[in-house]
Amino acid sequence: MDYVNNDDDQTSYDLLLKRVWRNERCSPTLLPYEKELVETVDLAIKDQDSCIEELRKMSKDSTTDFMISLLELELDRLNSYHRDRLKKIQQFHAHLLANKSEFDMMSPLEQKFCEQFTDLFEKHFNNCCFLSGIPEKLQKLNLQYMIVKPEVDNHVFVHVLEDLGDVQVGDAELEMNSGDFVCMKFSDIASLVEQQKVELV
Amino acid sequence: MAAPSETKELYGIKQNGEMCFSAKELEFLAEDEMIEIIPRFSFQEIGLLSGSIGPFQPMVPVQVPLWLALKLHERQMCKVQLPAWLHHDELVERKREEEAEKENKYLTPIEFHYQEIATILFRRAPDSFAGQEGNSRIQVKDIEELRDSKIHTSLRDLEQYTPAVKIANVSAMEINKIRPFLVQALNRFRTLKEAEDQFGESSQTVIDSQDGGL
Repeated sequence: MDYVNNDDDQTSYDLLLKRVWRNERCSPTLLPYEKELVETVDLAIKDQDSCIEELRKMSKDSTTDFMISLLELELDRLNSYHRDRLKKIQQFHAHLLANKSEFDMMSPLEQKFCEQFTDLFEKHFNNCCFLSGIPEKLQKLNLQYMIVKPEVDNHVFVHVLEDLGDVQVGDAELEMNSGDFVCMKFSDIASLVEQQKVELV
Repeated sequence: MAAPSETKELYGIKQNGEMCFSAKELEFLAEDEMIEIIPRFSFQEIGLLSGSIGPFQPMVPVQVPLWLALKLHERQMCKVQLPAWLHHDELVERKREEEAEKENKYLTPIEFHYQEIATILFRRAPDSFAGQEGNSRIQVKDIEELRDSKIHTSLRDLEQYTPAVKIANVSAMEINKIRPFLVQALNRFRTLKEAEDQFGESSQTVIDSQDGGL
């Protein structure tokens, strides 16, 4: 029985996903959806699941049973990414719907979630709450100042993953080398986060 | 399958402003670090998503992720080998170095998750410290305090708007600790500077009055 996953490329998916999760958690905005990575990990999880099933059929002793439970435990450790994104979508739903480029950063399922959430949100206020009882011109929910927007100028902690030389930070330049930790404005570093040259911590 | 008790609470934690990770989540991330164990059982190589580990043979050291080592240790299926930097003598040496750099406020290089890994091992595998557990605990705490005080004194030098603050060799838990304060302070400095740029000299009074509240 082959217990080993021989695909060498798979080694880093797990850690990549954790990095993507950390970035998502630390960034003030919604980052582009990591479609390829999530699909690859999904596939790997399905493989692992069927692998575990196979093992279970062959299992004879308690050690094997225990090793199987370890494999399952690893799969359990992998699901925070979607949760954090949904949390952000709920927060910024109106802003995301209003901006085409940011709307496209979501996966089709997330887009659906965002639309339905907004729909429910409006229905709730109009039908269940007090809104329908107050003057019509005060009933609007989508005025500019009401929309919760991400604070792109918030400061974040950055861990530099490769030597980048001088990076433009506001009006100045800052030398950033692999291993450095810098606290800086998110808007100054957003593109490098997306290119995964730095990670947020 | 029931979620493991130690990760269950991870997702329920309410996020608190700038505090990005809870201590529990940082421990969760630290559990991905590799550690050496000496198995007390034999088993073939197994394929985890994060890579293959094993084969396991009694008395033959092997590298596994920390979370897996803890699970095996719980069942007394292995002995957890202390990472070199957590040995008592090494900790004493680290503390000496940390003390030597006190004047420069320079943080010496250290494992990114050193506090988490030490805490996890103290709590869940104290026998791996070979009787030095109490002493090592004190050393780690001392190192932690030395580093914290360096960070605090250097934060005091931060007096005006700075687009970027570099902190060499800072660890995960330390970032988490200073995050709420530093992020808020820098944001405040930035707002003040923007106001200043916009209104020029005339804004001086505004800045003075806002400064009082900082």
